[in-house]
Amino acid sequence: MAKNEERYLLQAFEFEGVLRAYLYRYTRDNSEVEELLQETYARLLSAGCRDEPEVRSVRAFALAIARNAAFDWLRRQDLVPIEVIADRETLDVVDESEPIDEIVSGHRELARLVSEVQDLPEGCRQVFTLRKVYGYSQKEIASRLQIPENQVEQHLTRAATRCSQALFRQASPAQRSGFFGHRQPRTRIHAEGS
Amino acid sequence: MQRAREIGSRATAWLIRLEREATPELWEELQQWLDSQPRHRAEFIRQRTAWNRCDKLKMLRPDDGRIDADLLSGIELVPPRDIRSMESEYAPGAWGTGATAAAGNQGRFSRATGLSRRVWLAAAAVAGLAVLAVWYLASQRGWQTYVTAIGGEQHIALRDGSTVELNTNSAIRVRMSTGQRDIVLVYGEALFHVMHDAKRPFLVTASGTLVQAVGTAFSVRIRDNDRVEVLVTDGRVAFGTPRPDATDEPVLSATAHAVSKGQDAALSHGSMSLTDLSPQEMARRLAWTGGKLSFQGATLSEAVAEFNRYNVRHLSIADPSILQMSIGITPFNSTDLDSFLGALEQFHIIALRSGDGREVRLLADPKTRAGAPRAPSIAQGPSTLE
Repeated sequence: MAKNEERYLLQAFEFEGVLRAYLYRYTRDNSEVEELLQETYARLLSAGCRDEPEVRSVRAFALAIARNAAFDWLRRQDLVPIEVIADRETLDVVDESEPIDEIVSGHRELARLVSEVQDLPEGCRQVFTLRKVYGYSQKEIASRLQIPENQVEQHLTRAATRCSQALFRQASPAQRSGFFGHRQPRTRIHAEGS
Repeated sequence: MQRAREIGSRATAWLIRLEREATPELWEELQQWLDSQPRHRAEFIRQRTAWNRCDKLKMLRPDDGRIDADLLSGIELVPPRDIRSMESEYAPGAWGTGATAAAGNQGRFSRATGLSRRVWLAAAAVAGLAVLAVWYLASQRGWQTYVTAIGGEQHIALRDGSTVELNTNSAIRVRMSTGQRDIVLVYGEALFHVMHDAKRPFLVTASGTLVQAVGTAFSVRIRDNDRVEVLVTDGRVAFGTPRPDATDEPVLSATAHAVSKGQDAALSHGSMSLTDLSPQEMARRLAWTGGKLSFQGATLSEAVAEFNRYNVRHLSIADPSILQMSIGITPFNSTDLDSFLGALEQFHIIALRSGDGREVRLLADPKTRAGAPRAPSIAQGPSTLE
């Protein structure tokens, strides 16, 4: 059976919070985390397209890719912490995180989504509710709420961004403790003479 | 380098734009954007995955068919620590979202049992919305929920000895009480093998429709537009709408129809249709229980829609002239794209894949199209069904 080329990427979304926290250790800068996360995802996607032996632990693999992306970034910053940091990272530790019951995490995800939607402005929330709870098309929503279709589209675009944050941004508690519970201070050494 | 946030906004804008209308021109433009940077494509997949996952909010849809755009603002989340004190008999932890994660809970839940008893939604203070919240609380008590992802399938053994096969992208809720066995098909499709128990009717509610059985086997599927289909493979069931005066436990109204073995009943906006199916057709319709798909006399657009149910990677038909073409395909693995495309080649339908093969569009083969247009009825499957 043909492999789904998106498979590594799709799995990585489930521990995006871990990847974010991991990247933050190197960058100490949230907007750089965003950049490096996207870069990590792009590399995971192309890894899924290559004809190579199947990766056994996607989590360890994704973290290694994130680390490489972070090192590339650090090089561009003229910093040379590579050996220092590399020695301290034991990627295997992360992979021991407990498997979370699928249904539990499903419920938690639903809860996060609902609370995210509640924070949306009223119009946006209503449009989103009609689309995702009741399954109306954008056209139907426009005529039901008597607003232009363009506005429906704008509301949904906004809501979609928020939902991806709600779903993927944070790591689950089990993933957080253990690995990030004892955060080490980051070692950052400037290159001599740079 | 383009900033991540901007790529994110563009990806969502694309996603929603295409949901509104997908013209070949827009599609072409999207491909160019996706191909221009690997990050574009990765982010698009990320946003698409999240957006599709939002469909699970359908679970919160009230069973009574009421439409309320403010539904979600009427539901309030109980803070995780409150749940823990309320339901301390359950394993601690795992409820914390970001804020309470620091508590260091490592607790692990046992399998689904009792989970839905966790009343994690509490009544909204707003008067008009309290009704909904009460409905939700009441409906959550004693219920267990089972969900499958796209391409997934789950075998569920119920306490009474009945079994459920849950098809791709489906959700059910189950409640076993002494008087009856209640199942709600929230979305998707499920096949039930009901253990005989005359004292406890087995009731399946699906999008405003009710199916009642005593000991039999049948499948229920919710299609788009709230059309509900029931396929009886053994025994007979009663099929109709629930009585409006029934409160907590659904009761079948007097106008229910009987559906017998080998029949397919569909209820859509109050009108019911009944069809006798041949054993072959019946087997074909239930091929999903073995992870297979097959088509006989389906139109291409039906076949593609069916295939897409099982696959994260969606196919699209880029050529309107082949939408209604009739096709027949012998059973193949429902997540096997290459088998499906290979079978379509027999109908002179070719697949255009983007450079990396992740997007697939179907077209009539230009070589055959140059000649006289083929009548759809000429198209034949590679072989007939067994």
